[in-house]
Amino acid sequence: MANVKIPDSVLVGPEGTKLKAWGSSKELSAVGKPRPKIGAQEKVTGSAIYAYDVQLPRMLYAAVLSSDRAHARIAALDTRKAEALPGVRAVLTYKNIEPVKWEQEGNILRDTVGYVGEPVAAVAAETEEIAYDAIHLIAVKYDPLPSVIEPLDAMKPGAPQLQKAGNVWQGKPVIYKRGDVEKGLKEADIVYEQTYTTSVQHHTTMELHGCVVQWDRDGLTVWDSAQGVNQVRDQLASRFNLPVNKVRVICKYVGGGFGSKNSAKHYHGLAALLSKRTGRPVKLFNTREDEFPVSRHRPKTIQTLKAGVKKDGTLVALYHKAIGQCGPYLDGAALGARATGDGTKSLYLCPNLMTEAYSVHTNTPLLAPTRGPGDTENLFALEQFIDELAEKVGINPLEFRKKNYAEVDQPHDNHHYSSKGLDRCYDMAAKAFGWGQKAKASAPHKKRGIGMSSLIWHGNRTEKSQAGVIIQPDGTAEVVAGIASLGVGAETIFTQIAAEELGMKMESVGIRWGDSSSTPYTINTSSGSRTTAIAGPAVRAAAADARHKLLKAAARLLGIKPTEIATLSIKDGVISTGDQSKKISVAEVARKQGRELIIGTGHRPPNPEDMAIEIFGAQFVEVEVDEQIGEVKVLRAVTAIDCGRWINPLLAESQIQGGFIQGMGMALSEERIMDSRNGIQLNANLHEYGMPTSLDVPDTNLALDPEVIDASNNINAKGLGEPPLVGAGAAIANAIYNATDIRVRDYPITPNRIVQALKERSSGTRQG
Amino acid sequence: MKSFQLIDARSPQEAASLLNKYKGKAQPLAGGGDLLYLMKDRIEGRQIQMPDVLVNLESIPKLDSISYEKGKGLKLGAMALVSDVEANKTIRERFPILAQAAAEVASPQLRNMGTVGGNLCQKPRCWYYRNAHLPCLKKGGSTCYALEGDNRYYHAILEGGPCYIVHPSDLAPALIALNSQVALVGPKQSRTIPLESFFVNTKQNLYQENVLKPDEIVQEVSVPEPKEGSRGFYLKSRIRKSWDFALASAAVQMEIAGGVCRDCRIVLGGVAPLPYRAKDAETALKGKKINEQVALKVAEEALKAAQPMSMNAYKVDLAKTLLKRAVLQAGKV
Ligand SMILES: Cc1cc2nc3c(=O)[nH]c(=O)nc-3n(C[C@H](O)[C@H](O)[C@H](O)COP(=O)(O)OP(=O)(O)OC[C@H]3O[C@@H](n4cnc5c(N)ncnc54)[C@H](O)[C@@H]3O)c2cc1C
Repeated sequence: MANVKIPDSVLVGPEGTKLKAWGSSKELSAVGKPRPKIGAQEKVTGSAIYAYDVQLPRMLYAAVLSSDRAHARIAALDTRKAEALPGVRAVLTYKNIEPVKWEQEGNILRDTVGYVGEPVAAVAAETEEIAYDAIHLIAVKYDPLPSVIEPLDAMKPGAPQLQKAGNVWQGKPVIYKRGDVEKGLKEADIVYEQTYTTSVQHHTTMELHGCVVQWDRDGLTVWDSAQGVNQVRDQLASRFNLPVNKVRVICKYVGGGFGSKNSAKHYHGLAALLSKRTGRPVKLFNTREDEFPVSRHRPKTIQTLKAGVKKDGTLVALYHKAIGQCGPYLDGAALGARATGDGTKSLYLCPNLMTEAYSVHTNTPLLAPTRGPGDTENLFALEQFIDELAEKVGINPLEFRKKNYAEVDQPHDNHHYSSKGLDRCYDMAAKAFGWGQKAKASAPHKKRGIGMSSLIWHGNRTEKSQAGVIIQPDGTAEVVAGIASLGVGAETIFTQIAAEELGMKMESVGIRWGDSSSTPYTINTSSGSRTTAIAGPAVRAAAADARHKLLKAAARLLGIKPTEIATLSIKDGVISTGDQSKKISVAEVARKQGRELIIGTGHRPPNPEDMAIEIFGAQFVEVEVDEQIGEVKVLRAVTAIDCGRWINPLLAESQIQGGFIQGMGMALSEERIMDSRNGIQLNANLHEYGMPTSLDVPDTNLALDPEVIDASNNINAKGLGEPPLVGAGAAIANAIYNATDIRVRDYPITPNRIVQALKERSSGTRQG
Repeated sequence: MKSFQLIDARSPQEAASLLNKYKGKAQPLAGGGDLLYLMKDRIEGRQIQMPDVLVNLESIPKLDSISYEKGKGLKLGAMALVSDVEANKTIRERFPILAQAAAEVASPQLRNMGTVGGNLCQKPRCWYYRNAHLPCLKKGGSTCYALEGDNRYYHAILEGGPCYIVHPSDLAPALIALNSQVALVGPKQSRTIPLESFFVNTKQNLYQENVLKPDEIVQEVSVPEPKEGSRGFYLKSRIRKSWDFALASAAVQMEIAGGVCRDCRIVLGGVAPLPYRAKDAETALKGKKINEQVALKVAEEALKAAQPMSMNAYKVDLAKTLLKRAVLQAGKV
């Protein structure tokens, strides 16, 4: 987008200088280029070291016994047999664990359990096998307490009350209002209401959740599988009452997080206490079965949408009620009330709007952010509903969306957006997809369909971030950043940002990260698609500081007055005056600096105050459905995302492709299946919890860059990790409807649901 | 996983003798894809014990062979790999239904591990049975959790009760449709029986899905040479394109001449505690010219006794569609 005015406040440079506003990526040399991901080769060849790989001398192995009851008091607990097993070094239960306030509910291990999978005891032993044998020797007698599993049951009178405020989190729904919905509905020509449900989605990370912990005189050292080194460090320091400089969290590579590895969880605490008690390092990783409750999950939701529309397709009123399921505790409960989010409030122009969100306590595992939390549940429902509305008024779904396009951010004082390229996303994705044409199916019993969805994901609020850039004596640069590499490539992007600012080749810029004790506070944890937009600007500021210092040193060497360093520029590692009369290489300056390294530091300037920041996009899907056996094959997906500048198109594409596939999993096959009588998850394994396989993914999974330059920060980026999942489900559901005339409003759209719907339709008990 | 003793057997008879020696405490180990999974998950109960001894069948020479003799048919050693069955050229050409079924099993990695014997003797996939916390009927408890619980995928619509498992094997329906025999070896005696009568439903035996004695092993499955003009087809429905058990499957093997079905065998998978031979459907097909209407009638006959559970009525329609299509496919000349 041409002529974007980047506010001076985000372009603050060192010593009163101003950073250059970057133009189109075509004009840049490192940013916007497809640099392959740092560490990719190490991962593929197996040499990358994960927390799971860490082996320390005298290390013990831990195993956790978790509850098989949804709600119970522990009446008796006998650990004698486990303790007597040769090789067992420690057994922790609520009886002997030292008091640590872990969550709102109190200590890590307590004498009650509130969901199946809650930890009851932990063992440390000489081998993993002994540890697991030992937990099976612990005898627990439970006194059952009344439990409730389904959120709708929990809302009924007479249900066992799990919190003081009742089963609705905080005792009341979260409500948002503008205008007057009742009035709007009266003005409408058509009023339509529909209910949708989404299922629990798990993170299902390839690397299990766990850590290796050593607690000794030097303090606590944790080799973790985490999304950030700082947040885990801060939480462990505060909960164990240790000075921050006595806690060190190391995490270079992570085998997947998706929101589940942001914070210090009970396994960190148990491993630490076992290490403290035994005086030996302890490795604690969950079993795959325990992963499901331990990683936590996306809530299941029941959502009702009601709208009033004019004949010409103008949206005049929108009401959205969502019920989300959360666990019995306050921890994570807020995530159950987020399905009525930015999608409903911001995506379409609508003067009369009300949302009402209930997070409901049940005896089920707790919630954690799950890639695109809230907005995903929101748009899976809303964007099906929008298609249904478009059909009611007889307008093409894409036209309907354009007709109700919102230029300003309605829930936030109608602020203008720092950028909004949704219209461009619609147009370019529709064109690349060939929207409107439907191809013939490959067999007589199959049907083709096309569908689309918009997507939105909230941008980032102002946060502090700090980074460093060191120019080493040989003239290479090293970014220093306090992040863990979640696998999305933030570290790679940082080297590009630094290379761009420094005028150096990407290959001469490296990065050090993944250790809380040797890096600045760049980010607490990589969540919310924030790392690029929060930390990237700090990296640029640090590189600018290093550049400034380099130029000062070069000026000295070239005999240029310090006041005239603005005449110097750096390109491909060579510093020169504008007329090229004087030049010197960065390497030469660095060599002359010797041990007095040039160290640039920088922090992130605040966001401009009067701008709303949101990420937008459009997703188009073609499916082929064999409705009689309920089989859906996604043939093609085209996604365009306005996440601001694509710093690295190669990584952006893989985020979009992976995100779409994860959304497709939630739409078609992933679902926690839980017995609603006893709260036991029935498919807590990777085989029955249906993540898509390589045969399920579409052959074409295209990612498009609308080339938006965002005005909210100095690198013009907004964030991309989560958005690509958000619209996938509705686009697929809309395409299935387009193919079959069957609307399945419950995700995932599995064969049983399609075949059942088909049967109901042919027997006349179902319409649409 | 509970620790165990592993003993290499040198011959089928020795394997059977070892099973006899450690009676009640030993189990044969083939690819381990199912057995070790159950042991890791500690699936046990009053009526199923985790073994202390595993008798390794992999050490028995030639038990993994696949051989074919024209006119006589095919012999599959119990330790033949599912992936070898899938890839075998003769099987692809002469017993395509078997190659199709093998290709539908699990995932490539699991097919590389799983054996014919293990596939036929694998335990059911009921998620209550496979949950270590629940003492279900089949493990010796008193409740069938599936009856009033979640029975949407891997539970019976035919011949269910008192336990509602379905037989999980993809190979079994195809092999029964091919009229295979299975050779069983005990410490002293051997016997050969039709594969169809190898399997039993949960009314006949709640705790075991077949007639193997505790000290018997499957040695070999033999498949007779199909008659001239015999054609077969296997179709399976599942949630994902790979790595899922059958929601339902249909195996049809028939002899056709001039577009008319002379003889046929029809077996459904994933719908009953055992591979379900649909004899009424066979009667409806025999002597008929294959067309859409006949295929539909065959499907109706096959499912006419269906008694779906609370969440799996869709499987009736699903199985019908699969069977109808398999009949039409097999009948296509
Ligand atoms: C995730 C997953 C998905 C799967 N999906 C499918 C599928 O879609 N379709 C399908 O058909 N199968 C499927 N399977 C089963 C798999 O293909 C194997 O067939 C199965 O694991 C058993 O084969 P095995 O050789 O590993 O047997 P083992 O695990 O070694 O043994 C299984 C059982 O058979 C007994 N046994 C083995 N050999 C003999 C013998 N010769 N005589 C007597 N008893 C014997 C063992 O004692 C044990 O009780 C799946 C398995 C898994 C783990």
